[in-house]
Amino acid sequence: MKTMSKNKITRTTCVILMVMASAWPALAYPPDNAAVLYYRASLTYHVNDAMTDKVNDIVKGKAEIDDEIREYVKENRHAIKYFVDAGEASHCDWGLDYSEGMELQMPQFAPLRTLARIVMVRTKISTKSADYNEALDLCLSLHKAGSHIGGDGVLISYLVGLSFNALANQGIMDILPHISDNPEILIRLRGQVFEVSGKLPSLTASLNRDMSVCGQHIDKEKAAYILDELLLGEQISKEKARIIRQADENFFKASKEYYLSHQAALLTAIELPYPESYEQLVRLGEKLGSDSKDNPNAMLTSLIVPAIDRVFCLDVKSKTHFNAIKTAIEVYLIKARTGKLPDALPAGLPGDLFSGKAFKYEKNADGFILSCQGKDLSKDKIYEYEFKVKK
Amino acid sequence: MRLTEDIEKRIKNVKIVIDSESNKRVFSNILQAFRKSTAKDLAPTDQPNIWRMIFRNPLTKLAAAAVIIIAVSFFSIHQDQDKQERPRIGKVKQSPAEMMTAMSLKIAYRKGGIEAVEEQYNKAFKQLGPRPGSLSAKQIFAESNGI
Amino acid sequence: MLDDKLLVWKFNRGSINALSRIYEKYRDDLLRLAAALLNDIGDAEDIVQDVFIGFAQSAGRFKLTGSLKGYLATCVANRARNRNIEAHRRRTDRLNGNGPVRSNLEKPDQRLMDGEELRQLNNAMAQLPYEQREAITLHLYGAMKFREIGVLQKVSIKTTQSRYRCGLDRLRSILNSKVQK
Repeated sequence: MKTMSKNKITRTTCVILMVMASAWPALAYPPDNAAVLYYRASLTYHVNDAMTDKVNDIVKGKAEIDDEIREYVKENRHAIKYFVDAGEASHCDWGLDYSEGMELQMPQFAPLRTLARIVMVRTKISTKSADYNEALDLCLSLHKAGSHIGGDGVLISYLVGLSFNALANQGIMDILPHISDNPEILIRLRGQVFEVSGKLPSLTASLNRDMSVCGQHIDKEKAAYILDELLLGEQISKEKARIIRQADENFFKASKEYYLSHQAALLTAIELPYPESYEQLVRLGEKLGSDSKDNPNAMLTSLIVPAIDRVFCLDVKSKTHFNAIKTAIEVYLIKARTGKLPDALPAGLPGDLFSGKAFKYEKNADGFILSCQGKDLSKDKIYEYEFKVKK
Repeated sequence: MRLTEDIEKRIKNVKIVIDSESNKRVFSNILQAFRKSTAKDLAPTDQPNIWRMIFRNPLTKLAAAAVIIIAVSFFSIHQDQDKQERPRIGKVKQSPAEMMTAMSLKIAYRKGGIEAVEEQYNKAFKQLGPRPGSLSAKQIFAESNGI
Repeated sequence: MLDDKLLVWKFNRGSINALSRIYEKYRDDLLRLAAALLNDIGDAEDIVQDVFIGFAQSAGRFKLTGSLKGYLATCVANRARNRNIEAHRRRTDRLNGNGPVRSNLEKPDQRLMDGEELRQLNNAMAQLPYEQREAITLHLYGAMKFREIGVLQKVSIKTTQSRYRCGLDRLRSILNSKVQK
């Protein structure tokens, strides 16, 4: 009797386990790989050119939210959900085969950029209805997407990722005045921002990968592809392209060596503090330009390496903006605790990466301004970030 | 589960910095070994014996000679028809897929920043045409019932 | 996999480009694998170089039956194990897993690879039993299945999986305790 009931229990347990095991895939959401959800979001969102233009205007502040746009955002709620859920996935593997070199197709960014703007509009809708937590979650999902796109990719991926970070930063800036007196939301935001900070993509890694991928084409067999592209893009004369096509193995070998040494110099330069780094990058760019006229080995390098000084400044600008936001959160928290804005910034807060120093802090009638102490040397501009306080 | 994934990710993604000079040195050692091996493989003594087979047999010898004569005649006719060096015909138009390669996007960025990249994407997607609308499960079943 | 088959096909026909692509594709993971298995970055670099040289010497005759990465990772693991056995005979007290990872190269700027994260991870790895280290690194860096690792280690799949899980748990607690400090 005992054995029989024991067998029955064992059988029942097995059946339950089998049913659970078969249902397990359905329970395993979100998937480990964020790219699956990004691709899903890209396939799901409603393509509508007229609405896309309206979305762009709203994001740029040129238009207001109306019922039509609310309806469009509602239609895209599933795509938005996948986009936001993707940010929670542990990693992002786009399934790109970098051995294809610069022939690698990257169609995934376009729909994601459109979706990012739709997410921004959703953020504004949430802000209007005072659902600040949801609005901030949406902004942070843009940061996470930026990291997923820009991390482990080539330079173009990095630049697209930076554009997502810029959108996210702007979104958070727009929400902050509304939550300036709410310590609970501010503390939550602080935690989220801290989490995202650790995952910001690295320009060094992207540049390294980009140059490795591009470098594959400094080769007699593979150069034809990039020469065709450069001709089509009017980046090279037909005569130059012809000379390179007819060059021998020694030319490509010497060009590769020049390219690798230029790559090493660039990677070293971007690790320096900003002013020295920028100066060095500009100098390297100028040297490359003049070498390409006299030294045939520099020709291919000059054609495929972009202006890294500009990219570098974009990177520093984005990270500085994010630092300003982190600093502002701390200032708001002080106000929430003490009832007034501090007279000076506390020590140890993230600073301005253009100068390597803390932000300059100045109170005004509406709130406070954080200013960089160093210039963006590419634009000869000092950035200021204004943060308003709820009255 | 998540903790396991986190540690796996941390291990897999551990950053290493490769020194380019040393990398060149290492690869050149590997290349040396490769060249020796492939040179040995393609040494005259190791040539496939297919030529020996052809020249042993009189019939195959004749056939090989005929092929060579025809090839040479064709080549000389072709040369006469086209005395000028034909310029390489470059691409004049890109397919949507070609417009979305890393190189193409990079060139777009050089020309006009991220906006130019976006415009390139828009052009590519326009060429691809409208995306098919989504199918409901009902429609799928209705279609499959017709099989 | 198809890409690797094509690369090997070209490699066997003398394509330097294919060899270069294979090297660039797998170098980093193989270096990570070797560095994690050995307590010596210099030895790790030597082994990876030897494996690639051995591979290069097989051009024209190489037959890919499974995964190329798995094959290269197995070569690295076998050499690492042999190197460890030799080192154990010579320096038994350094293999108690408490020694820091160090290079036997005199000049750090001669090293192929470096990295603070790498050192930290390898110091933590050094505290695991060798079999656990091997299971973790072959699975994560060599993309090998547990069945394949089991064949290499001459144990069952279950044992390999258990080594992997225990190793990861131990690694997590070592690394987390370092962060808390």
